[in-house]
Amino acid sequence: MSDLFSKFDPLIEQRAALLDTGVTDPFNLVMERVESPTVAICNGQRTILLGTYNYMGMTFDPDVVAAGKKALDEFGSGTTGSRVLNGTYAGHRAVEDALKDFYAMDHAMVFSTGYQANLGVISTIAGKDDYIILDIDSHASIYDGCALGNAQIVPFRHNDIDALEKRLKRIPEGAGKLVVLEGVYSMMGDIAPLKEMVAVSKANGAMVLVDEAHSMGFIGENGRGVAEAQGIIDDVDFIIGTFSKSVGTVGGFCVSNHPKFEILRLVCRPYVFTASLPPSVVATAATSIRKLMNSADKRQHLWENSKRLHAGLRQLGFKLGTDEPQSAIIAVMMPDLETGAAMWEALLHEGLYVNLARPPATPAGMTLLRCSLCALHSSEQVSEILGMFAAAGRATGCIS
Amino acid sequence: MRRLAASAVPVAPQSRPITLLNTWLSTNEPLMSDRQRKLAKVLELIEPFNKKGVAVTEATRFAQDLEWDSLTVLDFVANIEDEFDVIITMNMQAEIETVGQLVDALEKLQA
Repeated sequence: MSDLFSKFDPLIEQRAALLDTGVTDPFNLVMERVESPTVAICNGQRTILLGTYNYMGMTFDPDVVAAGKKALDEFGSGTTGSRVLNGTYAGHRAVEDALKDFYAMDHAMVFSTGYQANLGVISTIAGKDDYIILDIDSHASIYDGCALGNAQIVPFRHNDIDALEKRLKRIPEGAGKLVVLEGVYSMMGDIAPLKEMVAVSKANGAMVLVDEAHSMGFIGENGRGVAEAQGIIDDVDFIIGTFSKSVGTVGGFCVSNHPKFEILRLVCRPYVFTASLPPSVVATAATSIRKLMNSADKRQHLWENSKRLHAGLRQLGFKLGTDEPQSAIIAVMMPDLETGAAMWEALLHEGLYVNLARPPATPAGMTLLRCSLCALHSSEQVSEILGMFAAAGRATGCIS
Repeated sequence: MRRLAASAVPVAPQSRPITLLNTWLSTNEPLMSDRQRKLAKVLELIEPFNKKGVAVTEATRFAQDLEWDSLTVLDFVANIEDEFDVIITMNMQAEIETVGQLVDALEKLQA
């Protein structure tokens, strides 16, 4: 039978072929219980979590949980409304104030997800005759923001400063320009040369938006991200971030010093035409963000975890996405999807959860086992994780 | 969605805008020679990426016949942009399916 779903047939067949080999479905895992930011029960087995983006381990922080419960009691389970109608409670303002303090910026706008923050800001500020110049490895939400708007889209090779500069110089005189970059690219865990790229963008009259989803709370002296670490945060026009990683709940935001920023609340459709976050979510986010401002010790421990896992995996003979650990993400490169799925399953049997990433989400058609570390992984857990990688790697023939 | 351009739905070949035709008609340059020069350059730039040794004509399709992925498209487009000193946006790439359509687009960009 041929209908609108026929276009999915190749994917349905690929998936069936993979599952026919008897491997556990890597995209259908259920966590039956979650004990902490680093441990859950999956298929009845204690499993160390190494693929959650829960970088700072705030999900079970007692202050964060208490704030959520209090807001649930006092403000109810949801707002049932748009931010511009009945959906802005005291808590929404409070979390925006927390963001302004965290980033030391004038304006903050909270969206219902990080995806919507990119979708909304990019599609709204770049209009029909404007140009968006973006890294080819940008996240899906950035591409979807481009697709939702009408701007001219110009991609450049990943992290290539010269390629960015060449394209900026060829854009017609007088056209509006928005350069879109990410602090940490989440597939390989590598960071961008923001210092050089922002300088080149500014020299050519472009505004700059940086998605710091995977660096907030961890990278930079105050956890403001790669732009802070490289000393150019004041030259960035818009920072996009999320509550679903270091902050430990769900939601997205944009912070900026642009004097006209507040008008976006009226013209940004993914902000206006959706319900706002529940009171409990914004209360947990605000509490978490304020605690992240004073988490230098946790940042330090997370770096140690990242360095140890990177060095240990390398020593075992795994091929990694970066030569040096650049973030809390370590990508283990797999030769193909079948081996990747087998290795993923072997790790799960050992009691370790990582993300299996495959095309089209990955660059250059790669299959990756993506590990994201948490500041609450103990040194003992990192040792345990390396032992599991050794066993699973030998069982599947990935290492000798 | 990384493959925004590569995954674009094929569209019917665009008819050339009348303004462009007028530009051509008003110049003394022989029309075909300039287009043929562009085509020859495009064919030359395709070759390093023509891993399958396909016999390339104006009708050759980048995605289906040359089987290029998004990264190959990016590198090839960068070379074309450098050679002709133009920008071929993803919006334009989505409308370009064949070699001939690329040459048409270059004619338009340099008009």
